[in-house]
Amino acid sequence: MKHDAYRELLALRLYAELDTEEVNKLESHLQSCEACHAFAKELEGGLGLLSARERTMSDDLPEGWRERLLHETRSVRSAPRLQPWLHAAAAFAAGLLTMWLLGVAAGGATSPTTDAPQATHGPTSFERSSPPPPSTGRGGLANLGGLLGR
Amino acid sequence: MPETAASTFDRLVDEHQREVFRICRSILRDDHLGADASQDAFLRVWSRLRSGNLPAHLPAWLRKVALSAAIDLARRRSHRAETRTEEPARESAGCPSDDPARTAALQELEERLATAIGELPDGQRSVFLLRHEGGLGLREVAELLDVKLPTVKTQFARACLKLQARLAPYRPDPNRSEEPSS
Repeated sequence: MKHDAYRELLALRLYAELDTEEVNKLESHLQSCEACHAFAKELEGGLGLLSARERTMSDDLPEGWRERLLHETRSVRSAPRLQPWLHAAAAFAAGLLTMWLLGVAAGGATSPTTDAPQATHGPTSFERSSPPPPSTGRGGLANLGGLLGR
Repeated sequence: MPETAASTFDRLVDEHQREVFRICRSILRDDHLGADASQDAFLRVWSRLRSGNLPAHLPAWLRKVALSAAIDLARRRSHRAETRTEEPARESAGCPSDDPARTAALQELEERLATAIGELPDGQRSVFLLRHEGGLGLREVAELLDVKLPTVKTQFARACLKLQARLAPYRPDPNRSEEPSS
């Protein structure tokens, strides 16, 4: 193993990143290599000092950090409970409105002569009218449109 | 009683805020920027939590989120053309020194280190910062960066040796006593 490789092991040793095999290999080499032994001292006096200082640095986050984070999430936390209801209600209302408008349009196109009088008689004309064709799902709503189309 | 998303989030913040902060700070080399990136990271966690899609291996995923948030913030700042040499060096932290001269020497060493780190190749710089300042073990760094452990160890060791060579002329006098005289 070349000196460069041992120097790399020395750097790793500074940060306690050697496995057992590497420790044994390095210790064995240091017993007989003055150059690497001296380099180890240099490392301790250079990068080693800084690595020791980094370990003493505080990991505390700045004051108010947690409160700001929770404030950011709090404004979102309450919203999700409302949105599904709002969306469902809005979708339902939109569907009703659409069906009604389609019914109005269909009622006006197919029976142009029967708008106002039938509307006036509302429920009675509905009862008297022939049953809607089974294929059209909007039959009932078309009639509803007629009832409301006044 | 089943845990709600809010209480889960609070617990995750309590358990992981320091590690997330260390990772972000190590990449951004600034406490306030590290705090900002940590906020971004946890807001991403909150978003995933609300969607009910948290991954199984949470600590490893959280580290990746922290790293991603820090890198994104670093990129946004670099687009505003702020250079590393213009950033003020971090103030000395940790144990107060009774030897002002030695403290000043160490602070100069840190400033030199900051410049030298900026000159490392990208891979070595990332690994070094995450280990030296982020406090992650090299095994965790390897997992975070999706790189094999032997490769990470080699990159880290070579970064250390380059930095040591750059810092050698500025080392504090080893003959000075570390303990203050009473």
